[in-house]
Amino acid sequence: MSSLLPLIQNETIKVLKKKRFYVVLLILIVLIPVFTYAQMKIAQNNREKFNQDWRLELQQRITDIQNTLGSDRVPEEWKKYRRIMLQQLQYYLDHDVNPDEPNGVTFTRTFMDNAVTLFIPLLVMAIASDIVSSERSTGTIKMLLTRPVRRWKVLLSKWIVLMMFTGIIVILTALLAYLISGMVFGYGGWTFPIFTGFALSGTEVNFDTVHIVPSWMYMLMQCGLIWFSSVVVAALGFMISVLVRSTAASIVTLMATLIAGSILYNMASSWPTAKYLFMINLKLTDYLAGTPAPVEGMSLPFSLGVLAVWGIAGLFVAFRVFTKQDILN
Amino acid sequence: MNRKSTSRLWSWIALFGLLSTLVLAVGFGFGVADILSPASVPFTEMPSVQTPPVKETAQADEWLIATIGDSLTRGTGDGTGEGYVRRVVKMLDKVQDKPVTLLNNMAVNGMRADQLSERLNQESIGYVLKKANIVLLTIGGNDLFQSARSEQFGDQSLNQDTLLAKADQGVVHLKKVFAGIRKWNPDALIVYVGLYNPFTDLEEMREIGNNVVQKWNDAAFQMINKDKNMIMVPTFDLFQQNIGMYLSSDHFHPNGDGYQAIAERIVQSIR
Repeated sequence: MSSLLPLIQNETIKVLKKKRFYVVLLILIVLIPVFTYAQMKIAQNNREKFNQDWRLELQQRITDIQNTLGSDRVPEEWKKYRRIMLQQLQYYLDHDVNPDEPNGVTFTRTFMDNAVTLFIPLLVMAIASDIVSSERSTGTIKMLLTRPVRRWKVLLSKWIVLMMFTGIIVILTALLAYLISGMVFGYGGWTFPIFTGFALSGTEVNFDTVHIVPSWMYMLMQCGLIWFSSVVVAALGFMISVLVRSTAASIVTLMATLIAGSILYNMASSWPTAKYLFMINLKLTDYLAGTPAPVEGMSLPFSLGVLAVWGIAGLFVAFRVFTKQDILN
Repeated sequence: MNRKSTSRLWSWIALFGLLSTLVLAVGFGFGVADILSPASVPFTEMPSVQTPPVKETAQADEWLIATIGDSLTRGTGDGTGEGYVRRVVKMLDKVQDKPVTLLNNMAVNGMRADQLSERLNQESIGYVLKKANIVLLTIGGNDLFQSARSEQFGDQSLNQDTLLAKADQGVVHLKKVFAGIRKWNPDALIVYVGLYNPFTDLEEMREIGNNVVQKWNDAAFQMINKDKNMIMVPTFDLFQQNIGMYLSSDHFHPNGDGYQAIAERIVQSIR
């Protein structure tokens, strides 16, 4: 441990010096206001149309879903999803709780939900992809490995630093989303009730286990689940970073995989084997919100298992290759 | 950046990273626990049904319109998507000076009277009806012609006796629909848009269809007549000769012009 701490310090400073982390910050600071503005426009629009009453808006949303359900042109998969949505929205309406209460916390919750499959992995990748490969493309890896430190310790220190930044990125994304959107929507809503625990069986929703969690608790759980997904993405990015020499190539590899995953996500229902891919399982927050999983029969333990296997395999390959390979040129 | 500030920055980052990871790990634990065994985390509560309070029903100084019923109220067949509902709102807005607001259009395609009377039991529908002072509705077309539409040119389900029997059944539910709306709002003006016969241009269906629709409209009128705050807007005559002009390509729903004609009638009777 005593020899690990200076290594970690060294690696942290390298990440900071390479300015990658500031790029991440910049992306967040630029993009979140864009989303906030769009959300504000939608909210304004709805308020005008529905006489300032969210119940009317929600009722109209429910009626609109009911109307699409009657159409033969709507695919069965979408209908299933909408039937579940419908029952959940009706549940909110019957309990007189606005599912989209306009405030900073609601914005953050929605933003994080949408960020989990692509946005946050991308930010994590910005750090993960070059943490090893840049050492090789610049040639500094030789200096690093000629030190009297075991190779696995070098790599472990890099992994620990990556974990640190993964945690920071998730927290920072939520924090910035809250702070920036709060300027428009207000900073309240921490104790606003959220329903969770919708048990799905087919298109039926079982309300027996539904319970209320305060918004802050929901966000904590949500961020925790997002963090787990991010750690797995970080592990895979880490592996690719070890395997591929160029930083650009390692970013492209993982980004292509993630984008392919988000395309596959919508088609997965007709290809059940896709549920063993890690990209399909990244949206752990769906289990919290009660959104149906893309493939029938997926559950939280299943997704956690799949993600854990991918993550551990990634780390194993990374350490194995890094400790054994010859460093040439 | 000098050495000292770098080392201070690094310790801040390390601390922040460690704290973030700890918080997130706790959140992850709670999240998994709550999904696997619901309500096991602290601060959870069990939900209770709450009915939203409704402010005093709108007074005569504004028009608050709620609409409910089937595809006609939805506006199916209208290329502009406005249906008679939005046309009525627009026209009312022009012809008089009180503000006109459409609260909700709660119509669902394919709805039959029995389904509608069921739907009227919902608290959330009641909430909207309570707020309104005008309720527009269409219902019945699907009760009579739902099966006829799917086999439009097969004569199996189109014989007069089956259709009359369907009308008898549907009328019972229609009564429940009116009662259901009144239950939520005893004061609102209820405007029922009568049925028309969409088959007047089919030689073998013209007479049968007219009989059945007229029977339905008669029965509806009898019920509406008992309540001084209900009116029935007839559409039967509008479509008798003008099927080609007023029906959309599905040969069942009105097109834009058809909805315009219905809307004009409604505005004439309630302005």
